[in-house]
Amino acid sequence: MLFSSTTFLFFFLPIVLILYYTVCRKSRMLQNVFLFFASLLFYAWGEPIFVLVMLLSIFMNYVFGLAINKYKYKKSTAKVFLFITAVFNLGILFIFKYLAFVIENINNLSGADFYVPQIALPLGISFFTFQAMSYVIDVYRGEQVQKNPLNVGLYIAFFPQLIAGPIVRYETVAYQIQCRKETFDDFSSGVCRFIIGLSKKVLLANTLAIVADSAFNSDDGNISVAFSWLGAIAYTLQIFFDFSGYSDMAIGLGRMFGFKFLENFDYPYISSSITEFWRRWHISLGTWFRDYVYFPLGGSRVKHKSRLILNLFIVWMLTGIWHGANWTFILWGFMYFVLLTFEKLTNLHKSGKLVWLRHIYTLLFVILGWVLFRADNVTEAFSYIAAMFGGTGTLIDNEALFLLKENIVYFVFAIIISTPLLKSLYYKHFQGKKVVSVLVVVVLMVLFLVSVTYLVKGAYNPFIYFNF
Amino acid sequence: MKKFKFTYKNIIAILFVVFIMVSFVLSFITAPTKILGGLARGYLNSPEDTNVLSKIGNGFKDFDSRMSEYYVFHDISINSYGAVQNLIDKKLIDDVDPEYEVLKLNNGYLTFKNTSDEDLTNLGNYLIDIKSVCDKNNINLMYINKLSKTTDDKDLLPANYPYAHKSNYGELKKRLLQNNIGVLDIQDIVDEQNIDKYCLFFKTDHHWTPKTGIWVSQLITEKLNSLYNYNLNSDLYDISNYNVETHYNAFLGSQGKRVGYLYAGADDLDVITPKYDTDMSVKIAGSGEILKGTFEDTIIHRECITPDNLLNKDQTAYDTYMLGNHDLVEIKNNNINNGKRALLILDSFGCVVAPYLSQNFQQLDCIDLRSYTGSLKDYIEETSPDVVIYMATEYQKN
Repeated sequence: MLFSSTTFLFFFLPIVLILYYTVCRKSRMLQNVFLFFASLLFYAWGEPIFVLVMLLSIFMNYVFGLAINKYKYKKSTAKVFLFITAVFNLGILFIFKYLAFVIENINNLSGADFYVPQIALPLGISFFTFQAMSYVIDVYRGEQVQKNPLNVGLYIAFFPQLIAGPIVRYETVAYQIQCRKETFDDFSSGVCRFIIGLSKKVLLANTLAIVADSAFNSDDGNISVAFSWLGAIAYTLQIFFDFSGYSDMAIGLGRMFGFKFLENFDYPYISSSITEFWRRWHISLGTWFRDYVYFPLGGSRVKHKSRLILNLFIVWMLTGIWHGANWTFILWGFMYFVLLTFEKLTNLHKSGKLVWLRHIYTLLFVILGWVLFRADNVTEAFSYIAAMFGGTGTLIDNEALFLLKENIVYFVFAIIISTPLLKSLYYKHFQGKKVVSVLVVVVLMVLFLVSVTYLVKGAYNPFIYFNF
Repeated sequence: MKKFKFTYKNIIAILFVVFIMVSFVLSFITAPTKILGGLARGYLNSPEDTNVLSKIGNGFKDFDSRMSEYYVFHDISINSYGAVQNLIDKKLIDDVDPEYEVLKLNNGYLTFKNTSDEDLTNLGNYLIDIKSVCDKNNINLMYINKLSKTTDDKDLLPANYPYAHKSNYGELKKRLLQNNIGVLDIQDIVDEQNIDKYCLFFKTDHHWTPKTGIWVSQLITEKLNSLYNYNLNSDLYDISNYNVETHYNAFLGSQGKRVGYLYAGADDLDVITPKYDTDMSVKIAGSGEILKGTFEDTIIHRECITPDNLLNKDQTAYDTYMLGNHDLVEIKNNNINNGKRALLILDSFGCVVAPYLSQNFQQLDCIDLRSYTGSLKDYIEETSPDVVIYMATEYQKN
């Protein structure tokens, strides 16, 4: 099930809210159990069979957590269980997500003809697998183990962040599972956040997707410079509003049920360095890799620069691979490894000079990175990038002009909203003013209602998280 | 107890909750079986070799599509969506199926984006095949190139519109003529007579208007007279021979239904019935239904006109004529004794042509190859019409 669907808005959410705040109000345990089963239904709505994969993941990680907790004073044994946890979780991920890719490449490289299995990818497997590992690792690190398997299930499967994050760390929600307090103010903040996220996804991301897809799916690949840039920028905005919109909805929904999740995006496109970009983009993933991979490897506090570079290489190759089973993602991760290593060694990200130039440098590589990310294969990615720099010999074409004119309103709003301009204006000049408060109510409700019309119309609603 | 504060966020939350609850309750009050039935339908319609969990998944998918379709504020949403697109001057309205994206031309008419190239080679092969069957049985064959709303006219298309529709109709026409198949090219006539072709269409639908149906019937009879020396009465199609009853803003066509009436308005629908006496019978083979009586009794179905429900999911006002598409319809005209029998191969465009064309034939049989499961060649041989009039692009592969 998607948040951006009439089934979620007018069937699932009303029923869950009603039952949670009435029938289940009697006890926290009842509320948690209800949310867990509601989350299973939410997940099963997409493809029921994959609920079994998630249930297996919940059960095994629950068992691993108990085992690690049992041997918490015998670190060597606990470490073995931690290792088994990693093997199990990464093994599931490997089978569903990477096995076919690996076999294909072995066949291509060696000329062998091994059978390539066609395995469907369970929705959100990358997210809930990492979330499950986070639980066990945090227990290993001293967090109190969860004796109730349904609470572990709730943590892993909670529907707001199940399919597309943010990757919620167990240590940040452990207390909230039992001891959260639902208030109407929090509920209201959650609703506002949800509406903002829904509007970002439905109005901006889905519309810009049409432009991006037109450019990237161009029949003969001979697109003009203008169209290739238009497509690349459209995708840059699409992926931001899609992902951050979904995170906003997840955070908003969590808040409606008393959970406070950490922020996942912080205006990444205003960054003046790649280092800063990754502190603002998909924060939960970045911090997951930082805390569970980078720091245990030694991070940047290592004796030799070569070790630092190796640590960065491992983290960024894993980040690339996490995003999908394709050489494009690996290349994308490698690109960021190179840039981040360069910045770390030169301290570029700490420099205060030529900020405008650093903004351009950052945005340029981010956009080129998204081209790699979006392309179906490496050849297509490089062809597209070549087109961006005049490779096809055509500067501008009708399709670019037409699509730009058709979607100019969306482009303008998307660019403005990808910066903190409106937020800054509000807090500096308009906060607390009654007229502005009334305006905010009107604007948010209009955005919500317009989003509903787009959903009902059945307008283009692509699902970027298919790879994850 | 903490005093409840009416902050702007609290107001938004209240409005949001009220809206989703009202939507939920009213949707399931107004169409409970239709929405919930999707679960059962999706499950039961799954292929036999599907496992139970996948069948359940299919049930969920069906539920999803019905939830949108029968959502209580569905029509308001579609119309509001169209209003927003109008406000931002959007010319190309996207759709889940790119071929059905709606394009608003500069003259205000809607058309489908329709960029897939039309290859009529196989149709040509089929028509040549049919010709050999017709020749064996001394039956005339005429192909009609229907007029469509698609255009390459840059004055009508939005500025810089990049999508083109290609068709090899020119090659088809050449082949047909080479094989002595009569061709009525309506586009040629429109060009010769300098007619604005869009006047022949509904604004919000891809079909011809009923008046166009009468005009095309006249063109067909004139061409048949000229090609095969029939003595059909083309003067019958003078509009003064008909009562025209206009239902204003009563029809939202297939393009209009995708964008709502606030995007491009709605169409008027003419119900055109002969002033002269008629005595007909219309047999719809699929249902076995036989209607007998006047033109009004047998052809016109006014229950399809629902101006208060333009986005009617279950029917379209276009079905006023002949109740829409059927695999085989036999129209007998008891007031005509010219012994002439025709077989019209049609698609939905034929719904406004067949009724008027039938006025010149003792019997007019209409076959829609999209749903007809029998063999057209066998039908031709068994019924031996005087002429086969082919006004479609579908063909049978066997």
